[in-house]
Amino acid sequence: MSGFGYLVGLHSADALVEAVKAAKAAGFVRIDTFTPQAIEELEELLPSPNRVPLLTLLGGIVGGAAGYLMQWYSATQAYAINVGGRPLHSWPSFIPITFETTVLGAALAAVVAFLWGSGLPRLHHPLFDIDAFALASSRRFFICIRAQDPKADQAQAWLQTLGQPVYEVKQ
Amino acid sequence: MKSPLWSLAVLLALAVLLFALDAHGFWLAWLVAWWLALGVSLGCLANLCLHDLTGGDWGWPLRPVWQAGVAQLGWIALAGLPLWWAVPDIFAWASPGSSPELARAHWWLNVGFFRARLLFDLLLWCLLGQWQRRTTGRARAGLILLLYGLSITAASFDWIASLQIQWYSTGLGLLVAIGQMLAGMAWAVTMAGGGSARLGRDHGNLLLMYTMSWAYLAFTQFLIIWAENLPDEISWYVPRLQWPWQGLAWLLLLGHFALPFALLLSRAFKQRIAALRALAGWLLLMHALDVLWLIWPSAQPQGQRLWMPLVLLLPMLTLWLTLALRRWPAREVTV
Repeated sequence: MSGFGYLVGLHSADALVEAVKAAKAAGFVRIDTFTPQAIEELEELLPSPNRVPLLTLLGGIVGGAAGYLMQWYSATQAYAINVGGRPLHSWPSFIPITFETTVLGAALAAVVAFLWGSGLPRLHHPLFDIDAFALASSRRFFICIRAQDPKADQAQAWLQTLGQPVYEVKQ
Repeated sequence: MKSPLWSLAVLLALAVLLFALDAHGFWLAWLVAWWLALGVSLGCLANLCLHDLTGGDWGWPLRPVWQAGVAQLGWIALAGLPLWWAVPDIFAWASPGSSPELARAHWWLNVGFFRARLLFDLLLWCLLGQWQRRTTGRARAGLILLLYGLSITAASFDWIASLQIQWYSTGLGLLVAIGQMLAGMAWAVTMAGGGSARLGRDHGNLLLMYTMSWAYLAFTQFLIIWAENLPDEISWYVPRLQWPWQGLAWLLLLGHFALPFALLLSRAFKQRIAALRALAGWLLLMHALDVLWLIWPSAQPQGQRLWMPLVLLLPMLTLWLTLALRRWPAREVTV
């Protein structure tokens, strides 16, 4: 099929977890879920590559190194001032700024990586064409089998066994 | 070494031996060992009260382990009593020929009042432990934490800061308290940490919080004193930045902060129960070295007789652990 996929809204988190387990057992591999709150079991059932932690770490390292280098350069190379007879490269006094730029780099990297990884900012999404999908932010737990699934042609029939209306989401 | 009697026998035999060899060194070594045992137990008490105040699933598996630690306060108070006789020996301010600064501080730093404070503190800590065990309630937990904070600050000034009479640091009490709470948390996580992926993350994050708070306070104190470079205050760091103490400083920086910090950032690490518990055990060991760092260089700047506290620390820690393990798992879980 073409389009985005097939969508079903369930009434509880437990029903969703059961449905995901059943869908995996039935051989579907491109399964998506949309829930009003985080459900930890889903993270284990549907592992997705999450690059935010790694990019946050890299952002922190880059920020810290840049902050330290900036101070080292300004205090020892660009504008060397003798402060109370201390060495020009007085590392203890560089630590607070290094800490701050580490946090800054890590926080900026985390926000950018999150926005980039989740495809934001984006004004429209095919799922928004389904009126009932608005409930995903209050009390409905949605499961979606994507059109890219190798068994996508069986998705509609299988989802109907869950006993709730099946929506076809167009691209 | 299953039985506490063995540890006790070894500890007492070593104590007598050290005392016969060198009374001055023995009293200082006894102070180090006693302060460590006291700190872990008080850290357990403070963590219990913290959990009384906040609640949360993370605390329930740890509570019995903390209670086993708090139950040690009785014998620790007894082990602190001999320090009554150590006061004139280990403190320079107690001997005649004092400076004008000392004369001003005499109302606080005199042997009689000092000994009275020792007895008061020992009694207070025992009573706080009993109070925590027998009753419940948030107001009580808050009051215990408050009294703990005040008493440990005063005791830190007495037993740690006054070893170097000219030195002072208003942050010392907080630094000591955070170190003790870290030790209490590390002991509990070693015994009962992890359990599920979520609990592992919680316990790992709390350990991360403690190591970061400890590093923050320890570094801030150093940075301020280093930047001022005033004779009275820098006197604390002058011996500590020379061999052998510089080696201990690096060991603490790496082992008490950098290594646990890097490992505890990893979610996968926190969720592995064996790894988390091993790291918590390591942190308890590092805390013992932190206690050594706080006390020994003040009294023995060149690191003389360093073997004495090391020799006493081990049986003291073993005695504490064997006695605490007998109380755990304890039945008296107050919910």
